[in-house]
Amino acid sequence: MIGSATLSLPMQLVGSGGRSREMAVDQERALERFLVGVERRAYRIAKLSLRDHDDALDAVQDAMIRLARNYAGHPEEQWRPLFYRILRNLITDCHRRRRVRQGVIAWWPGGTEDEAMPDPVENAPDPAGTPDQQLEGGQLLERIEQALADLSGRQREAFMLRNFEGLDVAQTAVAMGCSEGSVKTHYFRAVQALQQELGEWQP
Amino acid sequence: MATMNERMKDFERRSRAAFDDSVAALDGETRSRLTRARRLALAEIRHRPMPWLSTWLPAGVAAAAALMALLLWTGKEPGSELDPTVIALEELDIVTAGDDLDMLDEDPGFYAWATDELAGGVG
Repeated sequence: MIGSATLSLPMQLVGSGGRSREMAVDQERALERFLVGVERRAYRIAKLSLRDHDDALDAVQDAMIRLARNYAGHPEEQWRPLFYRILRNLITDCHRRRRVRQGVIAWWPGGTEDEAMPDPVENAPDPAGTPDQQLEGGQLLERIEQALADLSGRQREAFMLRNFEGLDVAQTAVAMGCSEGSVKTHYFRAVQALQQELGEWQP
Repeated sequence: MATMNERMKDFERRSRAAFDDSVAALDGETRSRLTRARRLALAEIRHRPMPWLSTWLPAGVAAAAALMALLLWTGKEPGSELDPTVIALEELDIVTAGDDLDMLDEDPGFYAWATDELAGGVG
């Protein structure tokens, strides 16, 4: 009797460990599917926010790692808003670091304004072509990208998460860390501002 | 004449289509770097401790720490104080051991003398 009780404990542990390993494998596969589905869109959203290829890739990679490290055990339906919340925080941190860097460069003796200030010629809209031609195809996104840069951070986030990524209001609220009412307000104002900016394109 | 809501819906649809096209047109280098990033993230799961281990290990450590604290507090090791039932069993062993009683039969004169001497000494 004692012998069987003594033997049954390690068997239970082995069984429990085996099941846990299977669950971990299932979880890894589910997370991989999720990341495959989200990574390219997340990169484009990060690129639209940061306007830098390497910074956008770094932000997406950090967001993936943090999601896997801290939230892989959460229900799958929570991953998308959590992932974008992490990505949003990383993008905000990146903007903050840039502002500090620009401040230091501007203050530092010998630092040139050229390094800190954006080039107005480089950022000027392309004068070639008519507005209708510019707004078609790939050029449309370039115009939207420039218009998005003029929005407030919250409006830009609301527009990209709701319209580009397709999150619903509740998920967007989780990702942005604000109320659903704020999401609706930011989104509506973003669409209005973008339409006004890209007015020539209206049918 | 399109209404404001229709214009808004059309703008949303066309801007989303432009975004989707830009996602589909990502270059190979970017896609490759995203794949590497994903593998790094998935390695995080593989190198995590097993869930049952992470659940039971802290509990085991806490139990061991509590036992150690109890021992330090009482200042006694388990079994350092003899259990009365253990003593009773040992005495029973002495009483029931045949050898100890047999020695009385070997030299009864000596025991009679020793008894007298002790009685005289005391008196």
